[in-house]
Amino acid sequence: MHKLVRLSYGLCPCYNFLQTVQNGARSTLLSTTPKPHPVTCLPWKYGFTLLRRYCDNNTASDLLRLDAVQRHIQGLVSEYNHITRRLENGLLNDSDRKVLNRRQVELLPLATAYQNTENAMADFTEVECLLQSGSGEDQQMFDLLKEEQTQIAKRIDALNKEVISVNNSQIDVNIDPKDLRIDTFRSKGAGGTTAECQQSRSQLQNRDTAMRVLRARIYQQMFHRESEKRKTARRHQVGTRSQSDRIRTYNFTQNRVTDHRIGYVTRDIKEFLRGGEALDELIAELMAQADREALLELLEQNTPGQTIEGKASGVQTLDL
Amino acid sequence: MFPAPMEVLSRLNRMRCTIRLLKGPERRQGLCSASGSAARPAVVRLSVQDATALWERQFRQSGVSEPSLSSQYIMAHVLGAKTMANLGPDVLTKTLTDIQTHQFWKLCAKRLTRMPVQYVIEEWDFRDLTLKMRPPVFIPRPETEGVALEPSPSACSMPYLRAVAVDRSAEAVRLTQENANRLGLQDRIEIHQLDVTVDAEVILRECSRVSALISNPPYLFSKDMTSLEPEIIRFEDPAALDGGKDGMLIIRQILALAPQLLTHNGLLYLEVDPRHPPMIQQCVQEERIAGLHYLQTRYDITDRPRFCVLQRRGTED
Repeated sequence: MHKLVRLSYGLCPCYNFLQTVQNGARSTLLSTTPKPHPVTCLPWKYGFTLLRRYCDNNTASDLLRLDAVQRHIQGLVSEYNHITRRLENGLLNDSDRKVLNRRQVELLPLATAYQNTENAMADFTEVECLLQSGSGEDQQMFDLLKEEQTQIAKRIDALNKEVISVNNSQIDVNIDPKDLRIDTFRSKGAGGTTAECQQSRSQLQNRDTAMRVLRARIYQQMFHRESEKRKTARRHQVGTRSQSDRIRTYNFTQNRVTDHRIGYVTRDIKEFLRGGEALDELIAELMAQADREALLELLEQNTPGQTIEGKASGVQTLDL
Repeated sequence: MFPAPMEVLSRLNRMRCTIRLLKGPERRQGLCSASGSAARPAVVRLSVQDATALWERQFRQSGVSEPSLSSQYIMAHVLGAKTMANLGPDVLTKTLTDIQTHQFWKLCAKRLTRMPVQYVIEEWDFRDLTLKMRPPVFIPRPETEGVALEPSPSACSMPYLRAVAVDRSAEAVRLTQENANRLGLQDRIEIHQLDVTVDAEVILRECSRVSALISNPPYLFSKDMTSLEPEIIRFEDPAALDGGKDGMLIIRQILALAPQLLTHNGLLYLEVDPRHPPMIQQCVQEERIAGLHYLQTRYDITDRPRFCVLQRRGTED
C-alpha cells in the first residue's frame, strides 16, 4: 500500500526510511533491551569520503551520513544482535519467544544489508591500502586494483540503498493494556478513541468485539495521520503559487536556468527544455532536497534525549 | 406498590401520548395490574422509550437493583432482541402493540419481586451461547466465562470434545439436557444426577477418566449466605451456593476424587471464593493427595483470585 502511495506522490524510496525512523521509534521494544551503545561511525565516515569520488550525488549515502540516521540504524542492528542472543539462550517462554522471533524476522534484512555493507567497506579499505602501498609497482596491478575499487564502490552503493529501503513501514497496531481503560456499562466515553459494544449479554463477548472495533478505529486513525503527513509533505513542494513564489527562472539572454528552491543553475536552455539529462538531474536534486528536509524535520521532532514508547497516542477508552 | 391509574394517566398526558379510552370493565382495570391476576392493562399506546422509562422509574422507586438495565433487557426481549443496542436507535419512538405492552408489564412485574432478569426472560448469554434459565437452577455468573478459556474456548467450537456433567439437582440435570438438545450437543455430553459427597463410588464406576475436570461448586461460607442479595436468596437453589462452614465441603470432596477421575497430567479447574486458594494449596500439601499438584491461581475480570488450577501427576494411569 505504501509503495503505491509513494509512486503517486513521486517521492523517492527514502520516504520509506522516514516511516521507519518514526515507526522504529514507535515500535515496542522489550523492556530488557539495552540502550544502543555509542556508535562507532569510523568505517562509515571513512568510506564516505572515498565514495564521494566514485559515486554520483547519491541520496542514500547523503542520508546515511547524518548522525541521527546512523544512530538509528546502529540501534536496530544492536537490537537484532541482542534478540539473536536471547533466542539462542533458550530460557524464554513461548509467548516471549514468538514476539522475539517476529521482531528478528523484521530486522533480519536490515542486519544482513548492514553486515554486507561492513564487509564491502572492509574490502574497499583493503584495496585502497594496497593501492597506496604498492604505488611504485607495475601499471597492470594498479589498473586491476582501480577496477576492484570501483566494483566495491558500486556494491557499497547498492547496499546503502538496500539498507535504506529495507525498512519498510508497517502500521502496527500495538495496544498496550496500560493505555486501555475499560468501563463497563458506561454510556459516555471521555475523549480519546472509544469503542462501545452492547451487542451481547455476555460481557466477555462484548469486550472481545469492542477490542476488535477499537483496533480497527486506531488503525484508521493512524492511516489517516500518515496520509495527512504525506499530503503536507506534498504541499511543501507545491508551495504557495503566489507571483513572488518563483520556482525557476529562464534567462534567455544569458542562456541560463535557475531553480530557486535549491539554488540549482544550469546552462543551455535548449537542452533543458528538450527534457534531456539536465532536466533529470534537476529533478533528482529536488527530490533529494525534499527528502532531506522531511527527514530533518522528523528527526527534530524525535529529539535524541527522549524515548518514545510504543503506544497509540491519546487516551483510549473502551466502552462496554 | 403500583401507581394509581389516574396518576398514570395524568403522567401519560404529560408525555403527550395518544390514549384510546375504552368504556366498560376494561376501563376500571388499572394500567399496572398485579402480577398474580390475569387482567390485561387498559389499552394505552406507549412508545418503547416511554414504557422503558416508566418501569425504570418504578424499579428505582422500589429499590430494585440495576433499574435501568433491568427495564432495557426485558424490553429488548419483548421486542425479540438480546439487547436494546441490537435494535437500532429508531426503535425508541416505535409504539408498542397490545401484546407487547401486556408482555412487558407481565415480565416487569416479576422483576419487581426481585426475580433475577435471567429468570424473568428465562434465558441468558454465556460467551457465545444463549442458554435457557429457570429457577431454582443456578445462573452462570459472568466471571465464570473466564475460567473456560484454557481447556477449551467453547465445546461448540471444538467438535471432538466430549463431556460428562454431574449435578445433585434433578432440575439442573433436566435444564442442562434441555440446553444440550437445543444446541445439538446431546451426542457429546452425558448428564448424570449424582452428588459428589454421597455418590462417590457411583461416579467412579460410571465415569471413565477425563483429561479435564471443571467445577463451579457451592463455595460460599455458610455465614455469608445471609448477606446475599434478594435475587439470590429468594430464587436460587441454596444447595448450589452453600459450601459449609469454610466453604470447602464440596471442594474437599472433589480434591479427594480428582486423582481417580483424571488421566495422567489431567487438569482440575475450580472456581472458588477469593479466600480459598491458599486453603486449597494447604489442603493439597498436608493431605498429600496422591499425585495432585497445585499449578496456579487465576484471577477473574475484577482481579480477584477465583480460579485454582491443579494437575494430577501420578506414575500410573
